[in-house]
Amino acid sequence: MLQKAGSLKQFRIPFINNLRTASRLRRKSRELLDVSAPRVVAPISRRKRVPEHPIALALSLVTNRRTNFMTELLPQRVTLTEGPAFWFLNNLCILKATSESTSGSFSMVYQIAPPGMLRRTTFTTPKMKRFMCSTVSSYSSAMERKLSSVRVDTYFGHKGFHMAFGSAPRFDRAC
Amino acid sequence: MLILAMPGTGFVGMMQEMATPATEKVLPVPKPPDIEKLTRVCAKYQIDIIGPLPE
Repeated sequence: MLQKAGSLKQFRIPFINNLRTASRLRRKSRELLDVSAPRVVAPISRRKRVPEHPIALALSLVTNRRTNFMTELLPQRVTLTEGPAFWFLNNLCILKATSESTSGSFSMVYQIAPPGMLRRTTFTTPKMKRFMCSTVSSYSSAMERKLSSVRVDTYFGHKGFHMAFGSAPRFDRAC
Repeated sequence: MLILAMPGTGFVGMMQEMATPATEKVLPVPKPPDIEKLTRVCAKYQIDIIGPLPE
């Protein structure tokens, strides 16, 4: 009998413990789900710093470097004058991003045209055109009309010399 | 004006080959373009010189 009681006691303790744990978990989940329940918020000084990007942080810990390919892909900010500059058909062009720096997404050049030069907003691909037209909705109807006749990349020139270039991706060209 | 070029068009490559490095970040002295070089570079990157835009 003693052995049986002992064995029962032995069985009961973990069972009660499980019940206590279950009720504690239930209470905790209720607190978490209930917005009105009071919560203890750690002061700012004791809060953990949120990393900019988990993968970037993990890579920086592993490689012991603050910059890696992931941090380079994160949004970056460049000033107007930042980047290698070159003169192209009487325009000042400042290279902001290359396809290498954007992992093959796009290249970006900031072009400053001489005063008095005719400027147009033109697009390489219909996808880009649609995106830009939807962004700049006030000009969209005019641009759509202008671009429906000819597909043009960009437009350079100065007084007496106007030129437009058209290029297309290789797959588009093959069609 | 911002120029966005999709990869595979070779447009920025053409610009860089045709361009001259700017000694300072100012507009260059205007001069007529080297049409022969421009035609050659555009042909290399499969870029068409379309001409002026329709008014």
